[in-house]
Amino acid sequence: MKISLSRVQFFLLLFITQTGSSFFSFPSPFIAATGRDAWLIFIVAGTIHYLLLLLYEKNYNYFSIGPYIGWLYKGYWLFICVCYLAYVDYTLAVWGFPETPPSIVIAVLVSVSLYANLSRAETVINLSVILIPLILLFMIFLQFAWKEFVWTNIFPIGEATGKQWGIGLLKAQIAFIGMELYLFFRKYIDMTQKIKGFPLFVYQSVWLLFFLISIFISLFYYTLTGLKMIPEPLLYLLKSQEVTFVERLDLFFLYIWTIWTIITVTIISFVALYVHRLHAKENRKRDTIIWHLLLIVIPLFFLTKGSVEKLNDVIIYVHLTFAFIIPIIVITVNRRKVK
Amino acid sequence: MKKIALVCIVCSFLLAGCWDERLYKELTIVPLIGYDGKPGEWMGYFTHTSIDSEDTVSYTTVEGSGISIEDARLNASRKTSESLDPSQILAVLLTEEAVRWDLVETFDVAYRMPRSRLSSKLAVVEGEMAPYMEKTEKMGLEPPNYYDKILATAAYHSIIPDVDIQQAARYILDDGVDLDLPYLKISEITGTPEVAGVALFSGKVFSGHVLDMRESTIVQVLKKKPGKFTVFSYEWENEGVKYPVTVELDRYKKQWEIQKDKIDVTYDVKLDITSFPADHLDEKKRRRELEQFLSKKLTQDFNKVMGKLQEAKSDPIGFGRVARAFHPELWNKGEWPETFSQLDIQVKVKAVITRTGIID
Repeated sequence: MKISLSRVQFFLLLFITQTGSSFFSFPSPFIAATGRDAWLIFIVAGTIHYLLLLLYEKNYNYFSIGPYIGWLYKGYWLFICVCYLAYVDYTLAVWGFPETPPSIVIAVLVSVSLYANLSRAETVINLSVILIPLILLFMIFLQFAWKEFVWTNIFPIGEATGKQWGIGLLKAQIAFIGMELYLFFRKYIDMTQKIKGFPLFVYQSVWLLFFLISIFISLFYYTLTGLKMIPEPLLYLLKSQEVTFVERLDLFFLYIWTIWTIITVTIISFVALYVHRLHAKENRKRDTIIWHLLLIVIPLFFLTKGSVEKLNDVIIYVHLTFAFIIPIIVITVNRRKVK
Repeated sequence: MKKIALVCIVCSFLLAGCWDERLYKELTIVPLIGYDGKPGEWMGYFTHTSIDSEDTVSYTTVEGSGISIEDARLNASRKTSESLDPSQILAVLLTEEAVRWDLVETFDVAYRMPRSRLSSKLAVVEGEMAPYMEKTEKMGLEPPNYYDKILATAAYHSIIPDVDIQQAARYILDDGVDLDLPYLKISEITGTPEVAGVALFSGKVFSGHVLDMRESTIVQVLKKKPGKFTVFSYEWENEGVKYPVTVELDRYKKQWEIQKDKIDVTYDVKLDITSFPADHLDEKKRRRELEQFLSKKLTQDFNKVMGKLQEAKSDPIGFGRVARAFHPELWNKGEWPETFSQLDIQVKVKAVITRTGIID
């Protein structure tokens, strides 16, 4: 299977994967750990994110992996998909579908990914486009709470301790998850289209702004004490808004977020199966079906509050291994080989 | 094959929610709830809809008791033929006893369960709860709609804050501002519940202090969160004759100067004259005299209200938020309600008449 991506497709894939599941759950634990300076700490984390993207851009040609590293990445992506599916199912059960069997919900979600991954590559790549108007709608509706924002909530500035900065920079990694796809997709971009420099800076700015808005809205709307009680502050904010056309605005956006997560899982499954096919070209359909069966079965073991929390804690360290440590080792080794 | 698979996927989305469907025939909507009691001993009054033999909707109140408000609802549900569904509440009434406890803890079920409506209005009532749940002749509407309307109208006229269950929690969880909730009492003349002002909270609980309608209107102005209309009336004396003067707040600016143990507050208010039988407002001198009179009266009233807020150790205006953000030396003095009550706060109102109506 040959892939060819335009610059816009590439950045959209990356953006959807990075924001996918974590967007609703990110602000609460991050602000709880960092306090009023959360926005300041995230700007510093964003700078690290940009430096990492620059590092990826400079060295993506050296990032070629063998079957063993490939299996490690497949395991990592399976873990990420399981975390996202367990979290989305738990959230759906709590917010909207307490009685629906989790296996049915997960099977429905995963079947979309199965269908897309059994189809042509374009299906997965272009699936993200449907999210663009939905994300814009989501951002507009968040502004409904504008008149209730308390801007003094972000002051005083500079009170975070060294420990809070450390934990904050670590917790900010949730927003980085998925960035390793840069190394896998970069080489498939049309060579005539420029990525380095301004386009990459624009992507970085959009990503940073997106997460910063979520942090500012949470800080402006809630007190620090209130935020500690609410795991999904943006969803809760939408629940608190009264509109004339729908009784529960939160459910409407819960569905949007579910679609967002399904597409993220689809993209991650696509890259995992693509890496798999680099070294195992036979039985494409069988492997795709097995992968998706795993995605249906494994999350069923992690559907309690405790399990979801544990997965959310562990995911940061697993991500650091696969987005920082392994790429740096692979790139360094391959550079040496070339020399 | 792929098309069939796609159709199956789309259809399965439609079926997935079937397990969670809730039919109206199994539920009865509760648009009005009243609570009385204390932790461990709650009494709930649930006004619910019922369809009588002529297919008309009527309202009945059922009582229930329990260790929490949710337990009280479950207890009351056992006394009805259908389950009481509080997902579409219009108003929640609380006795003075019920608000002497942390509201966030009391309403835990409302904040925790996704089906509860957080935009329902909240109000504190004077005395026993039972009379407030009964329909009186002069109400004109069924009790749930009556409370919804009178609270909305009072908020529209800046008499009370427009507070719902969610906003109440935001105020209670904020150390820098206190909650003020609409206060209702039964009219001695009509025997009908009416808005009487606001109940002031200090920290997380009711302070025991209540402001009347005029005072509570001033609090909404001080907060800079007035409703659509804000009106003040005074008697103006000229050459031994008293004339009523009514002004409507047009727009205004606030300026707070917060120091270590003092707050100077200035409000520059632009007013429209809506009633002034003494006339001659085309004369500059008359307008100046009236502006000076209104400035003096409003300054007096605003300071009087500020004194009452300090006495109640209640800061619904939110000086604490600014102190926390920009004046750590003041904020860190101790608990904010205590600090607030001991501050020297001076309010100055500068009134300017901007419109005089279609006659002079």
